[in-house]
Amino acid sequence: MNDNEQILKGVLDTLVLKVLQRGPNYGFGIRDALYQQLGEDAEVLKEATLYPLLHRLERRELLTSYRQPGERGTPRKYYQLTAAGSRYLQGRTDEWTKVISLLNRTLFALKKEES
Amino acid sequence: MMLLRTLVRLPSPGFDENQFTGDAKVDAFLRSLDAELVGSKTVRNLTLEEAKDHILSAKQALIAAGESDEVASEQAVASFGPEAEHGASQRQERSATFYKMMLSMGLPFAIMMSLFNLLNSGESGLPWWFHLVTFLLYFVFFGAGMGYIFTFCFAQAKPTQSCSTLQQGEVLEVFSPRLSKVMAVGLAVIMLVLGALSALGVLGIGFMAYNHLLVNIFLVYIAIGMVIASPVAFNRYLLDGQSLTIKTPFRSRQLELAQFVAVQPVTGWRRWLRIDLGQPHQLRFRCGQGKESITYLVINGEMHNSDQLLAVLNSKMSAQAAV
Repeated sequence: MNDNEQILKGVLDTLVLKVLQRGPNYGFGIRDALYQQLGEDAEVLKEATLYPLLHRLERRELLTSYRQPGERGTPRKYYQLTAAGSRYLQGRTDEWTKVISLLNRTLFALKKEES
Repeated sequence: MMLLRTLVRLPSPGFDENQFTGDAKVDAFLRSLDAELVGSKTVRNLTLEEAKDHILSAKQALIAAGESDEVASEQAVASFGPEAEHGASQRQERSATFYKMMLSMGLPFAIMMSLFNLLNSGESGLPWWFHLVTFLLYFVFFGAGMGYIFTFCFAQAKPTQSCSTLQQGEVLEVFSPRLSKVMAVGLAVIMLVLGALSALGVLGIGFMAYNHLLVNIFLVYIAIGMVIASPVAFNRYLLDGQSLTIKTPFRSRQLELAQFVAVQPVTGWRRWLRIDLGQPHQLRFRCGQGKESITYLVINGEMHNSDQLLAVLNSKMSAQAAV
């Protein structure tokens, strides 16, 4: 796994929660939304990573789930954000904002100066 | 190895053929994924249903993008990832449940039995290491036994529906599965016998007479509580858009949702005094002439749709509070 993938994996839980902030969604729907956002970095998101992540977030009560028939009539498991999940997402977003601000003041500022 | 695999997939270790989709590639994958999973059929089906839904959705998207049926199946299965990886993740989740159950059931039992031992040993002065060893034995054996049953043999109904809405005309039915009922009857019989023996022990009759008086009184209290609590497995709760019907083996009661004032879990000392097979919830509602009345609703993890019942009731309460 390269460094880029490592960073993306670290932010994946926040990205999943962000998708669910828009409303309840199911496994394939979440993956689809993330694929569109991640573009060429989407390769980092494997199904074998996504489902354990969803289950882990559910165990931490950041998500809750319910089953409802999908368009094929078969049971589909939907995930939705809990109040604790919203607070966690806000906290993580604030932390990432701080990191971006720090990088802007340091790494990217230096790059600008050099160019 | 084969026996061990069967033992962690009871009571139905075989693949549930209701999971077949009619697509040979998808079905072969689901069958081999099932072979990697542990837990009862209901528990394994939760993983299988999620995998099936994902693969069929991916296949549908590929067909829409112009792939043939066969290629779409192949690619959808391949992109889902190796069954061994999904299986390992599910086994890890179940192991965490096992240790949690072991701790939450083994520890209280070991503490209770050790207290009994301490009281019964009286002044005979058994060495401290004897109490330590018996504590560990009770913890490990009872905890592991109960953890095993609840993780690998018995399907707790969760995760079930927990959305806070009902479809138009839908009646949500909350009920316990057959196995819960069988276990409740078994528990009631065991507790009746234990209670009777302990009561005789209080009177100085039978082998329980050798127990400390406090131990026997406590056992009678526990036994009576359990016998009274066990019929909860036969309760049925029916919820529609207007009312909640609570059906117990002894009575049926319908409450209008508009009358509800609050739905709260019983906590604190009240919870400690009650012996229930599940979490009791206090339903406060207004009856005739605006007088407030209270009834209790016991909900446990084995009950189907219990999560959604609570979610709908809580959402109703929030909506009424907002008005």
